[in-house]
Amino acid sequence: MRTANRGPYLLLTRLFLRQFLENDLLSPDGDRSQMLAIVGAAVISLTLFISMFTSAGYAMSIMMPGEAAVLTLSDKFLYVSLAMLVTALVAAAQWDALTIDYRDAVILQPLPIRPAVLRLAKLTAVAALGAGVAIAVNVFPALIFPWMLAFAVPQMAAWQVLQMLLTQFVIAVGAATFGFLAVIAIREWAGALLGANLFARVSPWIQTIAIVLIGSAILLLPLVSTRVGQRGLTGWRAVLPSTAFMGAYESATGGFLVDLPRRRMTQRQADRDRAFTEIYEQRRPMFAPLARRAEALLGGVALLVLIATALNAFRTPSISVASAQARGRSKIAFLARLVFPRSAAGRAGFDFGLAILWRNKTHRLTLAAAAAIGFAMVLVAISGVDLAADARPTARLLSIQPLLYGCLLVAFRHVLRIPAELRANWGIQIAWQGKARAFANGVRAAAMLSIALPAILVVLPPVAFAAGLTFAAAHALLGIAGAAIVLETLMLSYDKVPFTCTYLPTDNMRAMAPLYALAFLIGAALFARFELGILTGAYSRAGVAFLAATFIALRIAGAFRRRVADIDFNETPVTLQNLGLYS
Amino acid sequence: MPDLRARKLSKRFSGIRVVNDVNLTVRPGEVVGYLGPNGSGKTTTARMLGGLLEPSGGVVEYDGVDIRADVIAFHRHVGYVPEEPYLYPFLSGREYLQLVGRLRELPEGLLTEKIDGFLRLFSLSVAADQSIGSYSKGMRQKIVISAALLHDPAVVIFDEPETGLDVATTLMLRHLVRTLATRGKAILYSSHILEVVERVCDRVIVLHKGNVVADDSIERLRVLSSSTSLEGVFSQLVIREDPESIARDLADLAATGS
Repeated sequence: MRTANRGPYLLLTRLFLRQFLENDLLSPDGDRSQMLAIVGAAVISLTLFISMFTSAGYAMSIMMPGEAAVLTLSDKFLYVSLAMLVTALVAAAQWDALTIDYRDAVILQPLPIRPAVLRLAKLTAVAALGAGVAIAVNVFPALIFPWMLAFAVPQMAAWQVLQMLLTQFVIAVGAATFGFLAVIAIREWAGALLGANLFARVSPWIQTIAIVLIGSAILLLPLVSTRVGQRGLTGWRAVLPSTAFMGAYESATGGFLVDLPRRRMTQRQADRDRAFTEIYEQRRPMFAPLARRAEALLGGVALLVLIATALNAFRTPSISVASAQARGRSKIAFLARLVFPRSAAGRAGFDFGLAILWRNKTHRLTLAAAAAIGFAMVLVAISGVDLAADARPTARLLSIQPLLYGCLLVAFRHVLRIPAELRANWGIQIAWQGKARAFANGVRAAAMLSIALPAILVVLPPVAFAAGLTFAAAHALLGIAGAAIVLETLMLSYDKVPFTCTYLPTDNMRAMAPLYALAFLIGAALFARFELGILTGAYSRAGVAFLAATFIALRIAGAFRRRVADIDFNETPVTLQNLGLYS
Repeated sequence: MPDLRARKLSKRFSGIRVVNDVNLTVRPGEVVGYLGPNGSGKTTTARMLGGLLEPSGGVVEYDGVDIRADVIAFHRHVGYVPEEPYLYPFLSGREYLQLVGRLRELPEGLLTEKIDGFLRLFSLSVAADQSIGSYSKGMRQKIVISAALLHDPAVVIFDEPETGLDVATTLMLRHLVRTLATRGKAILYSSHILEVVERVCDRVIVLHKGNVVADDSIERLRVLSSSTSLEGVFSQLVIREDPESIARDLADLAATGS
């Protein structure tokens, strides 16, 4: 009897767990085991690589206890931050699968399943996902870091290594739980406050912003987590949740590193140890309050999730609610058509491109990831710029614009090859009149309007602040020209119908990616220098003429290169394509 | 208006022949029923006739010309209603019809007028701007039918179009098919609902395991098989097992253990 009662719960839990793998990121023809293996390998290899990379130095040096106590604060900060951010990123990527969504309601509502069982199963699956990711992210750092540290600090006893190992694992899992719950709290509270219909409209935007912010934070982590102990725990660092969990880490271990017995030291080593010990002792009183703050943060976010979940539990999505998700006519598209009057096929490409880029989950997530990389690069570049109002504009300041739109346009070029919905391709195929160039022009205009222009506008304020509004406006205009040239260059090698043709992965991508990345960074820096020359009057006319000539040359090259489209609306399963078994 | 003709059409998937030397002609003003049990090759034939699937053998001709000579030109004359209404779930119904209409290069004013009309007549105006992901199967089917008729095609291929439609829309669809035929359209109507085929079609082609086993008017088929209905004809041609006996076995199996 017990088995019969637990049956639906277990079945549903398994179903919801599978959904995490099978949501829109995976094609219906995709191999679930392959996907799981790739995701697992990515998480494990990333954490293994980071642990080995950051800890390798300990195995090759001997450290004084005071020195070790201060310098390891950076690593501890890195590990708790990484655990928190990676888990939060997974939660943000699984955004719609975190609660019972419309699809679940449609399929499961007609079945004789109690809503409580449905919710419990979803809760279990979400908890299992969070726990799984938290453990996967933390297992290698927790094993490797204390063990390697023992080589550098031989005074550490075996039980102290074990204590550190367990502490790191528990605290980092706590940090990961905080990150995971924080994303769920944002989602649940947004749902509770906005109501089903409004939430359905803004939810993709909240998810995109969350991914951009978390992704940028992950990419900035190596910069932020250097010299944490020496720089102190004040200012913006003091308010970071990572700092609170790092304080909990130190509080839990009792800061035993600094108290370890000293071995024989040279005078220089003794001076160094004394200086570091002094630094650590200054920080030491902060750790207990930070630990209490970490507890409060974890408890607080758990409470927020509980309250919001309870509020939302009274309104399990129903078919009627979901179907009321009205999608108004795109005002952007309407305005754009006034600016870009073009052929019917061009308009089709424009509207289709605009819809896919911002509504299709895979495409949106790819762009969000690119935006995260772009913003991280922008922050790194801008960190060395003097933004004082009287500062002179520099090439570094101007480089933030091409870095951002460049990242996004490269991502756009990638998503062009990913079909929006393979099984729906027949609709395009039967209506296709062979106007490939006009259709691609429409898609290109959509990318320019919805990707490049917003990126250019986002970086306008810091440039205006540093160099004045006129300069910033001229920089924006040159940015539009630059983005148009980048777009033309990227589209030069694409001769299929965007978003429809079967996706074929590039064979040599892994080998070429570092070269492309290097070329991109050099290109952005060179373009910024070139722009500076135009904007400061060194070669204004010649520079603008060069840009115009480049654009025209690329258009002509594209027109010549683009043969009559070899349209492929094939529906070949990806696995068969990879193995070359389809004919 | 020209004929749509298939000559010795065949299709193999991974070496397995699913359509075997099918010959058929659909003339203007004629509704040809295409009947067959599940897996008999109806959808595969319909996709080949629509120029969506390359045949392994044989040709499809429109106006006496192999459609492979210019598939795009052929598609200008064809409307296709598939069995499974797979659409882009992130587009609204209106947006999907705009996409199809623009790809077919219909003038913008005419397109707007037609889309509004189709949405109104199919009672989809309220849901027109909702995403297709939230549509029922019937609503999707209505969008697919609208998309197939937007450009006033000379040939319309219906592949089990009544799937998911409510009673009123199914009745309307039958009248629509007949009306289109009276206006000179050549129509292939693939279905397994015998009653609909009997009421709508002038001629019936019966497919069994990829082979055409009958191609004649319903009246003549009745006479030849000494049956009073199309169901009787179909039973004689295609059904090898006794349906009553299988039904009894199924009911017995369902009742097992209760």
